[in-house]
Amino acid sequence: MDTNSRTVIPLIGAPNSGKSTLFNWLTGAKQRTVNYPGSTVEYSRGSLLEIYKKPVEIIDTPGIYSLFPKTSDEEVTVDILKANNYKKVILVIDATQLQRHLYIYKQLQEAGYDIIIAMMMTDLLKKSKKQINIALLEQELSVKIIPIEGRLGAGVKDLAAAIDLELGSNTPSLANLPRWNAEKQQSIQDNITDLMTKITVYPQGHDSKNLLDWTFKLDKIFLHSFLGISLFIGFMFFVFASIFWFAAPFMDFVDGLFGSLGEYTLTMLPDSLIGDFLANGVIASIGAFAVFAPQIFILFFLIGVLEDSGYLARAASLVDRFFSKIGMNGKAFVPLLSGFACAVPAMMATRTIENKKERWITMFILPIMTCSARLPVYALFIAFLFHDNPLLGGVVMALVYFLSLSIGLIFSSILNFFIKDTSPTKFILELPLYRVPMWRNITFNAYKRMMSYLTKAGPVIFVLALIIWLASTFPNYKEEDPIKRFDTSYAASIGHVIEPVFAPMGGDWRIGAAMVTTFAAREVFVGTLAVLFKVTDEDEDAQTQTLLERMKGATHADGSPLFTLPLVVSLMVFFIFALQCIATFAIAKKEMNSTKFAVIQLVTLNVIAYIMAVATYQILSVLI
Amino acid sequence: MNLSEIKKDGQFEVLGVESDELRERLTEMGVYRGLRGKLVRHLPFGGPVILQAGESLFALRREDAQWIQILEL
Ligand SMILES: Nc1nc2c(ncn2[C@@H]2O[C@H](COP(=O)(O)OP(=O)(O)OP(=O)(O)O)[C@@H](O)[C@H]2O)c(=O)[nH]1
Ligand SMILES: [Mg+2]
Repeated sequence: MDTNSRTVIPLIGAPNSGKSTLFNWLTGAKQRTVNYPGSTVEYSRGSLLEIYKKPVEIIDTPGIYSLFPKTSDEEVTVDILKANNYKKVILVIDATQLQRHLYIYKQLQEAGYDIIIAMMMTDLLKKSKKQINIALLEQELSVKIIPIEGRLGAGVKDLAAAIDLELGSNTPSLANLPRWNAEKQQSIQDNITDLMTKITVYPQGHDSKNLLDWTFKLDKIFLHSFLGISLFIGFMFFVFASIFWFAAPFMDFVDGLFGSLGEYTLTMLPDSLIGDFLANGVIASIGAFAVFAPQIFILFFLIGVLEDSGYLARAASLVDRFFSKIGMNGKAFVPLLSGFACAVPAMMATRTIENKKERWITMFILPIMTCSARLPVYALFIAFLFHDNPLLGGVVMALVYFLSLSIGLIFSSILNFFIKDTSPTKFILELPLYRVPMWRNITFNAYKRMMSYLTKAGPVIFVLALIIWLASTFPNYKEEDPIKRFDTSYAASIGHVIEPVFAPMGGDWRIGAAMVTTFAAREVFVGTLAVLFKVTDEDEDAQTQTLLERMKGATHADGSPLFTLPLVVSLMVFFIFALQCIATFAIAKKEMNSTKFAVIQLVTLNVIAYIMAVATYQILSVLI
Repeated sequence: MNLSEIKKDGQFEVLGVESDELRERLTEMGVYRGLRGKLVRHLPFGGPVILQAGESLFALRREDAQWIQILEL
């Protein structure tokens, strides 16, 4: 650690106290801030903004209730404190939860840290009946306290100014902090209770309500047995269905746009390999995939609203009873929900689950949740099946999401049956106050996710399009007749090798090739499909056809239609189960610290995916 | 009397927690001996109980609540 040039200061504090919010203000970072205790599960570093003119590095950490960690996310924080010789820490506390958040203060103080307190949520405190005599608290604790308004950033400047670059002579050591026994814990809380009585004032005639008033009103609805659960299902249904409803017009528009662009390119560069490559390779694939960017935005925006409102902790509590019966914990709710976005951060979010078995099961079923990379695949197929009835399409889209969740829960109960483990499990969760979401942050985050969808999968699609185009054009690139050219290409020869694997689920070699590319990233499926059907289309006049139209016209070698209902459904079934994502495999291995877990998960899910897809196709073919 | 037995809107004072493991976590989270609170509601289908203490709210599994000895006020 380069202590001579930069002072490193971690932000430490109880869950949901506002650490990440403060970190963003201090460093200009854009960490996600979520109104749920335990949203940050990994530390991150950032430099104090230039304007404060101090060479200081700030670290955002997962929230902790104590320096004696109980969960893996708490361990992250305690481990970095142990591994580094920080002398100073900024203790972040929620002004409305003072009693509870001062507990760690006592531990940090005993460990010997030089502490500044950042008191967040002072805007909420102002609305409360209770007021805090901050000057007296500073005096009692002999510590500097900086009040901060985390929504607008008031007070952040004062905090930066209060950071003292001089390193004290203190040598804090967590290793030397003796474990607090029951008596000590209790006496610390008693001590804080006394302190609170001293510093709390109830101003006369101060016209303010109980802070919890609004929260109680909303909880009456959201925690109501029938109403609460129906509202939740209704909202989720709306989220998933609306993704499709919004998708449909975009798909038509962008499909048409890229179709014309391709045609234009071909007229500008007629009979040239480069023109063919641009139109049939690049434009077709990028177009097919870029259509879905707005849907990614909508998905992340709506999940963001749920996250920042304070509702998640309620949902977690509502499902705990049911989840505990199938080997999980209410705390699995948040990881599962974020699994609808992406399995990678979702797997990290399971760190808040204390019990090993519950965490194991949650990790195992997470990749089944419909992540955003599958969204384009489902949207394409549903548009294909329900093009005449977009309203119904949206409903089916929502059903696919619910289906993936139900399958995950069925897996969970099966695993629960086989894994014998009786280590104690519990569910204690603090419920934060409801808050109006921070719209700017949510919008920005959704935008960021959309851009990363485009920039991450975009280049992969470009490369795959290049490969597929090359393979289907060479070696006979001089051949005038496109059909002959194609039939003698490398792609066709490779295709015939892999065809038998996909034949039982109704696919031809093109479907097979597109499936193989999904193991690079699921979202490239629509792109590779677009290229493959463009270069293999035998109908020369149809250059402007959209992907959906091409799919309708596609045939097997014997002339029978390719995209039949059984094939489309069996492909969707495959995507529900299959784990095609290398990043997920890597994070599973890292989080569970077990290659075995990751391999078992990878093999099991993909084998089941294949079997289920084949079974679906075979059964539907008989029925229809 | 333990916390799982108290009725909705019942006020209580925490007397102690019979499981060491649970006690430590609860104390750290701010549910400790001497704390006064109120049982706000029971979640449906035997789900967790919701407690209020000051300006904090907690959800606690009913099985866990059984370990918490209370005095009804
Ligand atoms: N009204 C108000 N809300 C705030 C303030 N600071 C943070 N918040 C909100 O409080 C919630 C929690 O903030 P975070 O910064 O995510 O808290 P954290 O300490 O990083 O939480 P964990 O990572 O879970 O430990 C978010 O919904 C924030 O928008 C504040 O000063 N006033
Ligand atoms: Mg955080």
